Amino acid sequence: MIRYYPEKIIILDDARVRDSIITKNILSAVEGRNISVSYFCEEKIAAMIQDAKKLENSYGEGKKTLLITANRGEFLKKCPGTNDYICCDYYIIDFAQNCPMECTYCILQAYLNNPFMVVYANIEDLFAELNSRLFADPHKKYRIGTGEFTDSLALEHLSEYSKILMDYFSDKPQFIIEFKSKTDYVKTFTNRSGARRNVIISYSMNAANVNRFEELKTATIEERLIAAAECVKAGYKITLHFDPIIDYDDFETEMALTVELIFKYLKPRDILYISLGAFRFIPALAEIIALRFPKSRIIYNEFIKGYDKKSRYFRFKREKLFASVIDSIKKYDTASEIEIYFCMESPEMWNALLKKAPRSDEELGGTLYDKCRNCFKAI
Amino acid sequence: MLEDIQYQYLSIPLSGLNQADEDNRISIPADYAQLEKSISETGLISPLIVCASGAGYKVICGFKRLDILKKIKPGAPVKCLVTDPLPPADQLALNIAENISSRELNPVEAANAIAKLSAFYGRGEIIEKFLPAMNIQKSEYAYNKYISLASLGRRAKEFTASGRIPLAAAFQIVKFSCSEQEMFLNVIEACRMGANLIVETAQLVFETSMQYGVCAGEILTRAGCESIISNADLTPNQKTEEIRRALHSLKRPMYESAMARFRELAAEFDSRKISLNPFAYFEKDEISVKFNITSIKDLETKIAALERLKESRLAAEFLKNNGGHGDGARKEGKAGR
Ligand code: SF4
Repeated sequence: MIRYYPEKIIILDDARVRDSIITKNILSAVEGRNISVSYFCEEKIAAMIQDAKKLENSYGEGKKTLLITANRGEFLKKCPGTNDYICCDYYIIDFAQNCPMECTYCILQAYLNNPFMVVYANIEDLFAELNSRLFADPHKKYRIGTGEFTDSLALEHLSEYSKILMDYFSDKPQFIIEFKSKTDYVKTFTNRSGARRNVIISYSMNAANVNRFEELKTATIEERLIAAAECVKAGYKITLHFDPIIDYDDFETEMALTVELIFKYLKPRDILYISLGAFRFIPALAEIIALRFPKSRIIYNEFIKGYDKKSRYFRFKREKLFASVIDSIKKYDTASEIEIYFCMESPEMWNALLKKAPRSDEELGGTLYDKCRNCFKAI
Repeated sequence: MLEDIQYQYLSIPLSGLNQADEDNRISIPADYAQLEKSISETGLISPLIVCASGAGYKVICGFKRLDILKKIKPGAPVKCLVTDPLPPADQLALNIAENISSRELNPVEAANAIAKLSAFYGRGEIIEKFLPAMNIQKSEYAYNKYISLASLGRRAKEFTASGRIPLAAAFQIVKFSCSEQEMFLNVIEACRMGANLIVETAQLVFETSMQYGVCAGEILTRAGCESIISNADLTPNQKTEEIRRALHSLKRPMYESAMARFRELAAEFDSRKISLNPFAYFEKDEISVKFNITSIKDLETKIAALERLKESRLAAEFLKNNGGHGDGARKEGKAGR
């Protein structure tokens, strides 16, 4: 896949950002390329963001600019759930926002109010916050990801953020850290001796045709799996996320192709868990998809309003889609080595297709955490 | 510059005007009853603007007036303001400026104007300079929307220009082919739909066609629109209802069939005693039962109704641990893929 390079870089003129290792990494990675670099104060950057927002294709155009700035809010966030669906009690480090890839269904299109690619370089603030918050509850089973407001590895060739985070967590094995990606970037994991015991590399999976037509500028499923296999070779464990599962043409065949490919490159014991989540969206996202990707048909289907106010497939359609993916996986994972769970599903769905529904988000989070820890201990 | 143009007043016979040359036309030929009445009563007050072109004159402004004069005064000379030859871009800009100085362009005229301007000006210049002058929001989004309208079929343009279909519906049906637009217009005419319903129906047809990956005409056919609108026994309201029901069944087959089954089974209960609502069932193993109690006797009636519910076919089909859940909905499968 083609790696992202911005057309211009804007840097917040603040010592925490200017002198940060992140900024230095990015500037040295783009050296020799024809990329303009400018330093601006906060007010000027705010004005530039406002101007960029006025562009018709602001979301697409804005990505050409990489903004290196400081995160003034919290870095560590809890993945938001709702009472009526079971969530996996996941935490996120908000280290960057926006993504150079173009998935038609990407929620960031409706969520972000800054069209630039953003990296938060005030890494000392991040570490200070992690130090003060992560240890507050010694019993808390933290699984922490970075791929919520961006792709974990999309800018890794520039910033090496994940590498720095891995170093930070290397002497804190009680925290599980997960890098979730649709890229095939592996250098961070393969270029070092010995895998980190608390690090999981995670790849998004989808039906082969969804990957071709709806996940633009991403690595192909096969490229991701080749990357995953390299990580396994380097000693890492993999997790896979089928999310969003989309009711698409020839769903069962195309999904079976992907599952077949997974087990061509990975063995069940290489995979800690697989999550399944069906396509869901807010009305604002539907409008954006219709406008930016008029050929995409993903928003035209039979949907109901879920308890989280998002449109989602009718319950029995979801059940059918999930059942098909689970059946495909089970054909290869005959000894049930892989933990399968749902992302934001009702207890009814769990009871119909998986084992008994977890009683709480913490219970599910705990199961996944224990699975990781036991596996790491066994290595 | 348009303000520097010099005009000369002339009366020109109709035959002297290049009537076939409609390069500058932004209006659509239609029924201009009011303007026609005014011209026949008081004559032409605002002269046409033309410029010398070959052996005759090319019309810059006044195509509607010309249409009317051809019809009601074919032998009479036409009052014209003649300019020196102008570059085509200036002719068009002059026509637009003359029109918007006296009235608001209808959406089709605005669309035609933008489409024609795009032959001479870049999109950025049109957005910056012309859209605000036409009272259209200065954005690429609006530019794209309006330029798409220029490809509406003739009848759809007439409906849009005259306001018989709202702009939001025009933006939807422009995605249909011309013959599908005709079918759609026949439906809304036969049903005498109001503005909101027209927009909702256009959207429903478009979304359903995308859902099934077929054209809009196919959806109108599958919904049986042709036979519904030609059914003389139905009132326009009944036709509307039938068409909406048919379109919704196509759009939400699982929901509609589960609802139909639920209604059928719920009809076995007296809704004055307990009211049953399946909504929760569409996401959970739950239905909602509501009732008020006015007396002890009333409470006994409600308890009896609940007892009947427990043994009912509705409970057997829609509640878990009592014959499975939701077989009616579950069996229905996928929507057209
Ligand atoms: S890779 Fe993830 S973050 Fe990037 S566009 Fe796709 S869905 Fe959005």
